[in-house]
Amino acid sequence: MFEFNRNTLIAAAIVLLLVLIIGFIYFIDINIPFVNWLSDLIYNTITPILNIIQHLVENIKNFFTTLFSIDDINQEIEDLRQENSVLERQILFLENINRENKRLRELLNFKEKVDYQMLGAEVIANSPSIWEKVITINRGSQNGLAERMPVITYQGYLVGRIESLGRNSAQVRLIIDQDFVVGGIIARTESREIGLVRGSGRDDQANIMDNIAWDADIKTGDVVLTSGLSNNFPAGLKIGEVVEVETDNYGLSQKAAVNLFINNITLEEVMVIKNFEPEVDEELNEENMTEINTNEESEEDDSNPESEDN
Amino acid sequence: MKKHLLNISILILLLICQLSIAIVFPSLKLIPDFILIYIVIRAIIFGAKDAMIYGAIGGLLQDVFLAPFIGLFTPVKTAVAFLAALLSGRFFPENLLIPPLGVFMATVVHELLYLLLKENYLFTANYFVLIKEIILPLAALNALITFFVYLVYFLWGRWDLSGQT
Repeated sequence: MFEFNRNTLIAAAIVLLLVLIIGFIYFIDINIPFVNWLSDLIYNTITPILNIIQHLVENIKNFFTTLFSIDDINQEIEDLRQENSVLERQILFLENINRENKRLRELLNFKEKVDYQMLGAEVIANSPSIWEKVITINRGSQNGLAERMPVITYQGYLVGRIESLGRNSAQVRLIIDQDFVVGGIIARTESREIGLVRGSGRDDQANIMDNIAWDADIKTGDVVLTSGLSNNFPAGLKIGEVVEVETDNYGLSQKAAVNLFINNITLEEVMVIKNFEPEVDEELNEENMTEINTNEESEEDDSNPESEDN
Repeated sequence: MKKHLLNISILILLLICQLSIAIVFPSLKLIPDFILIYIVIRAIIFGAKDAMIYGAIGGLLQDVFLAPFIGLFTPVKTAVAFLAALLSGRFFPENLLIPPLGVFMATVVHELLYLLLKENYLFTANYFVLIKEIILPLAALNALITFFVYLVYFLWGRWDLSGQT
């Protein structure tokens, strides 16, 4: 059907050679300084343009929102003023409780919890591929960010972790990405079961929490938090809610479908946790801790050879 | 040189559109692959050599935004550009359905190649579900965009010709 002339065959040979060379470089993961420099150059040139576009879109959106919903905004301002006065009273009340809490902690010799050091960032670009769940934020190495820092929403939901950095931007691999694995723990007073939450690779599907003990007390509606056992993420970040539980590995373990909280919101602004003190729940079984730590690290090692550095 | 710079600028512009479209329309489930559309149309009109160069450049640009510089998009887009070029010179420009059809098939091949080369999808993916729920709708979307783009290109060509005569 198709007649291949000499030029086409030469072109085919070049393609094959190119594909083999590029494939070799990709799979062997060779570090070529010139390639890295070129990559950084392209990345750092394009991201400021994306930043400008994002601000432009935001301004246009805000203009029309203000134009068409002035009454709603006035009502909202009124409501917020009322809420603000209520919150001010609550702050005073909580300050008293905080002081009391500090005093009691000192009495019991508890280790002081360290507040996270956080930095707000705006999402300026989405993934260029449907298979890779990555976003780009407008903060980078100049703002003190580093690879593998956890990223959350303002509501405290886990978004992902920083994958790579530019000067003024960073790429965040989302929790829904197929490469993403994080240790999860059930947040119920009677149940503190642990497992590994893996990305489904799809926005419209629940993540899977597996490696749960066969007799674990886990049920629909349970909230899953980060366990903090791997030292990559602080404990207590909200991941999602269990929507289905079923047996796995021929009854040797269980797995649960976890509906992520970030699927219900639009990611426009996020926060990067620059520093956190990993805390360990003393109630957890030491054996389980070692096991989950090893599993999580090994999963990440597969996808990221730099994980040993951390 | 001028031609290459112009085409690289167009590819960068298309990449920016691809990256920003979900910011403008957050509820969008599928992101059209503008770079692929551009490469396939070029392959059909100008042939394999031209399309492969821009396929490789487009793939590299896309890979920059997925952590490692040389990733899977570079070889996949180059290969798809070559395959699309097989259609070059085999149909009349008036046939407006061939370019969308070419893009439809190129999208299917492109996504399947990507999945087959992607380690974590290769053995775990349910290909039937992915083809039905993601690849075919994406191919249809890309084909639809191609139809309008090619229509504009075709009409512009005619208008240009009639202007000269």
